Amino acid sequence: MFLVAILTSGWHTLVSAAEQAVIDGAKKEGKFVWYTSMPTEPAVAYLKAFKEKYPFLDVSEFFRSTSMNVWSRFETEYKAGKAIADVMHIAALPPYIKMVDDGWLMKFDSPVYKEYPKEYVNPGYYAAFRSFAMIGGYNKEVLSPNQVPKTWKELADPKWKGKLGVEPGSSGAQAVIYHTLKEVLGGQYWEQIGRNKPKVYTGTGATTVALQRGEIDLAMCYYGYAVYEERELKKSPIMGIWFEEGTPRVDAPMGILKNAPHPNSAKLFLEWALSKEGQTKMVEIVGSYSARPDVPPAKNNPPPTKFKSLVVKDIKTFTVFLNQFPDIWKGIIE
Amino acid sequence: MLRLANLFRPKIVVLALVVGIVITLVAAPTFMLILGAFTSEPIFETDFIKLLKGEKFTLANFERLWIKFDALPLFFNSLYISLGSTIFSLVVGASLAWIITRTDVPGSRTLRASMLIPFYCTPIVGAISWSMLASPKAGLLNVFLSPIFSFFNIGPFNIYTPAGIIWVMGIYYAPIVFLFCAGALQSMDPALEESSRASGANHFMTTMKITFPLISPAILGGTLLVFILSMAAFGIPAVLGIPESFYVVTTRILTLITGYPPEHSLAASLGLLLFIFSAAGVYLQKKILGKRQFVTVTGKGFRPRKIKMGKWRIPLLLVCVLYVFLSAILPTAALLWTSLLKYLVIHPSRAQYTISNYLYIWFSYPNTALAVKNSLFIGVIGASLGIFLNGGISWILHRTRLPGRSLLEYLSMFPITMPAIVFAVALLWTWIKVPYLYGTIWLLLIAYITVFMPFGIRSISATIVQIDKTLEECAQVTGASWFRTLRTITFPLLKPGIIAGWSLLFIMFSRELSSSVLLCSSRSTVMSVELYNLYWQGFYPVLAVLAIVQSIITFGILAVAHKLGGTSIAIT
Amino acid sequence: MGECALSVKDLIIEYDGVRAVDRIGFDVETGEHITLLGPSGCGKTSTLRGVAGLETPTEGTITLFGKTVFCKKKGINIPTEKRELSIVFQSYAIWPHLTVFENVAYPLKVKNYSRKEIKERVRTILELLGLQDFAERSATQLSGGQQQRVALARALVYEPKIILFDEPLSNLDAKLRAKMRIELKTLQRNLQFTSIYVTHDQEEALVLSDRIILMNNGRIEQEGSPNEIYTKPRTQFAARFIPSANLIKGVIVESSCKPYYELMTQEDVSVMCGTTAEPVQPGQERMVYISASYPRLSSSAPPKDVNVWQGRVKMRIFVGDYVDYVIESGVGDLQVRTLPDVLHDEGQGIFIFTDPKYCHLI
Repeated sequence: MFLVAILTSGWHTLVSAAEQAVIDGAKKEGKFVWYTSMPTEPAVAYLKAFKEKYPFLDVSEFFRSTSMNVWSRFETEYKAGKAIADVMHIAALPPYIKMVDDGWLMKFDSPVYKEYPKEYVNPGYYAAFRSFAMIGGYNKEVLSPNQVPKTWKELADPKWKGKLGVEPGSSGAQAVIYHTLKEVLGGQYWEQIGRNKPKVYTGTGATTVALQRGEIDLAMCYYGYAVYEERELKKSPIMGIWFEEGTPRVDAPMGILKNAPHPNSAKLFLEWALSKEGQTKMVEIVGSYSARPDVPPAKNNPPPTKFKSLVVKDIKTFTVFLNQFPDIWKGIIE
Repeated sequence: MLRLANLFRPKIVVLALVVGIVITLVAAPTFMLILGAFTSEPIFETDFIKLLKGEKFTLANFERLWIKFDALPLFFNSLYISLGSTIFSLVVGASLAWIITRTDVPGSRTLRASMLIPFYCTPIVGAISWSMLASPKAGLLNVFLSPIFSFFNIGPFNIYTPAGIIWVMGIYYAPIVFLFCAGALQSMDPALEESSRASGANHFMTTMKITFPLISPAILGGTLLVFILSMAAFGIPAVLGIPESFYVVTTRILTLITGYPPEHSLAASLGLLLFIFSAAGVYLQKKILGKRQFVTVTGKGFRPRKIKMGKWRIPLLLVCVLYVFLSAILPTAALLWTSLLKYLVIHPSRAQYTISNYLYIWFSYPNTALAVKNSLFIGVIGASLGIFLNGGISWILHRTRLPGRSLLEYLSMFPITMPAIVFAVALLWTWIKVPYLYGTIWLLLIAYITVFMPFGIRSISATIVQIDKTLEECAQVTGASWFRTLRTITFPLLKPGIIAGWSLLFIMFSRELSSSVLLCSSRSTVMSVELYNLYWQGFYPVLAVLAIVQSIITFGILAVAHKLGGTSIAIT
Repeated sequence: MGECALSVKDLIIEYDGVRAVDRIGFDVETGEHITLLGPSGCGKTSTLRGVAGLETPTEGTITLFGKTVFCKKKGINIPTEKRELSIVFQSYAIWPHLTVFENVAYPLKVKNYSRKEIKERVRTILELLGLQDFAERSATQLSGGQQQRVALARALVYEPKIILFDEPLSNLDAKLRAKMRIELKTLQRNLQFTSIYVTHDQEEALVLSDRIILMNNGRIEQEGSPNEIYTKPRTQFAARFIPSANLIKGVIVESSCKPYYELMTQEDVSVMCGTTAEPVQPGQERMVYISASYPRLSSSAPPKDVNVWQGRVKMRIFVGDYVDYVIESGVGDLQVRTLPDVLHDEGQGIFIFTDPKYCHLI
């Protein structure tokens, strides 16, 4: 009961000696650097929320780019012996698996890992900070309600030629969609999609802009959180479709880096970001799904019970597949 | 004893220092680039000694480039847009130069100043503005002109094509050709044309057979410069080409480095190829121009008489105004409109407006303050340091007979042959292991100062050469020390040239993108990189506000510099 | 007259492998005004700049007022600013960002004179040169001649012991040049300074020098007083440098009229010569130099037994103060300059005669 009281009463009532040491350490470090693929506006807001909890931290320095770019820069810096990033969050799982093997992640035995279903964590190393539902996106000013498709399958119809949008071969999310839908709908599915000559957009932002401007009618590699941002926060006409056959799921992990220049701040951030409070905040600000069962989804987005999640089953083979995907994708698109 | 004292004369010390700096800035990265191109792992990971011994030498990169990465189509693409933009800017720049300087078109002063507006703008902002105007479905121009399109049954404009890239690059490079030609046209000896007229040729014949041929060195100089710059261009091909998977060499280099897995060695090899190509172009320029030095400039300062165009005055004026409209007014209007949008729309009638973007930029976006601070710092300090260095180099080149001058000249003009992004790759490698330098603005500073050295030197040299050296010698004879002469005679005379050179460097530093994108880190971000990042995230309205902020700041600084004693900017 | 102001020995100045000055040596005494005279490229300006320290010689020694300012062997090279001389440049080198007063005051400022002294000295020299009304004007607002005078004022204001002039008058028009020549000559008389003047204009050299050093291709052709150079040039080059020189080719023969030398032209016309640059032997080919000012013209045969030649007026050029004739004669085309009191028509038959002492063998 006592434990329950501690766990539920928030950090500021009973703080253990260990936690205090972390806070003191963080105070000395005075700074936190986040490498993330979360879009800039939400990232800024999220860091601001974090700073409200720990006002003594300077969070102005962060690096934001696409997942692959972030990973690439981090790797370059790491290999050159440069330690700049404290915590990295990108929308691709395989790099984290690799980092655990190579010993690039710091082991941090925080109790927070226990609060996650085990498919979303590697305890002590990383956990899914955000979970993406890969959906279809469209502009309601372009597609009238009866034009809106309900299945992935119907997108293979030639009437969608030139109207589809996808992400490039370097996109991990696109690879997941390809992989999972291929299992569900068969091999020719993607060839048919390829014949519809989809347009390639690098990143959520570019896809969103394309939808807003009517350059494509339907985005095939779109995110639940993007729809949340557009529909709820900006009140723009962008909507989402959770297709009948299922919704591929991409987990975007987050972990502390081994040579983090501010390890204590990093710990504070990770614990907060993975806690119920931090995850609720995340959902509120950016709209992704949380891997925590006690955190509801973004406003007006369907909860996981209402749709079928399509998950990558064998991570090892998928990692190999990921390396070949750019060439495979190139063959389909061009 | 006396010998040693001679060695430490200020002149020798300055020469040694300057040469040392230039070698570090230019030669070291170039060396690393060449090494890297022939190694298959990133050279900051391999054993450097082994590298130098040649144990890691391989041609594998070039093989991979050829087979896997379609190096040839890349070059073809680069050539295609470069030739296109060169021809475009040549036609526009030369014609407008002739119209504005040689005919009696009204308002030539204002027109002349307006011609230079695109020069002050960041190219990617121009590209983004044009994407707002001419994106295939929702572009403003397309929307407003759609009745005309349907009437003539032609398609809408699509800026995301090579033609679109050529269009935007042509508009933004035309001022360069303009400056070269206008400068030559204005200093031409009127007697050269008058004798043609006296022999019976009319205006048109004279212009075609005498005027343009006489200024052909200037035309060629400007055109070749535009071509070299186009081959090295990054921002516009990135913004308008990548969305449609149209890659040129520079944009491919970027994706090689920032993509996963990072392909540093391939990037180096590709960069080396581009560099060789550019160097050939510069060499060609020197060869062609070297042979044709026509003396058209007299010291008498006569202005050639303006040709009366009669009823053609107004149409010609409209042509000029059209250019200013397309290059400055229209894009700026698009940008302003975008900055007030909540989100992008299919049709302007659906637009929802807000000023929250402005508030966001100023109060919420943390990178604004950082980027502004860094850009200003680099712009002001960098331009000042650059002017010192370039001034020193110019002075050594033109005012001393020290040995090794031609080597210095060659080294310091060298950066123009290497595209900025290639240089950034080389710099990244050279300095990545040096503590305190990677990821800081000092690295950016080094990059900028090096990349733009040729421009600063050209600018200052133009002024130094105009100062009769007997003015300085006379001071020396009366007993003034070298330093005193510099202070009381040389500097005051050079001041307009220094301010002009500084302003030029400041503008170029503020707009720089291609090397910044590789070398910036979270703490050293600058405004053009922020704009670039915002573009890729699709945050157009916020981006537009930042672009406007950048323009205002740039213009502000330039106005201050102008006040402090500058005149118009001399580039040629 | 006393101390040696300037001594140049074995001077060689090379640029990019080309010898502009090819081992020359000369001395200038204190108070002397000498001119380095010669065509473009002869090395005169390079020599001057070498003396000033604006060029570094490849070899040689330069001594100013007993102090060695340059010696290649000993490694001495005193910089320009410490040589204590002054220069008037061809371009005047007036500093455009300073006023006339400031231009002239500059050397005094450099030498740390007091403000009061500067004011006094500058005012004095400006008055001397008639520039007192222009003191506060920006220097660029003056005419060429005025600028030249400012340059002169600046060179004189700190009373240097030696002044170097690098073709200072060549940018002026003819009339102004003539006027300035006289002014310079007057200054030379009234102020105490040594000067080295460089010019390609023979008249200037003759007017302004105590001694002329004629240079050609980096070497000294002849040194001497204006009179010597004018009456007794030693080489063809020297002779050609004198305005209106006549040169007659011929062969030396046994003199039929001692103590004169005799030269026989191709047309077997004899010229008796009073002086020779070098000893001559019969049979040698030589030239006779006769300045155009000395021969006389007469319509009838003059009562002289030697150096009388018959001819015809080929051309007459009336120049106002004098008349130039080109006479076709047995010794070739001769240029004769006379006063305009008697005019001979073109085509007229004419006699030329001249005293052998004006005929100089080179």
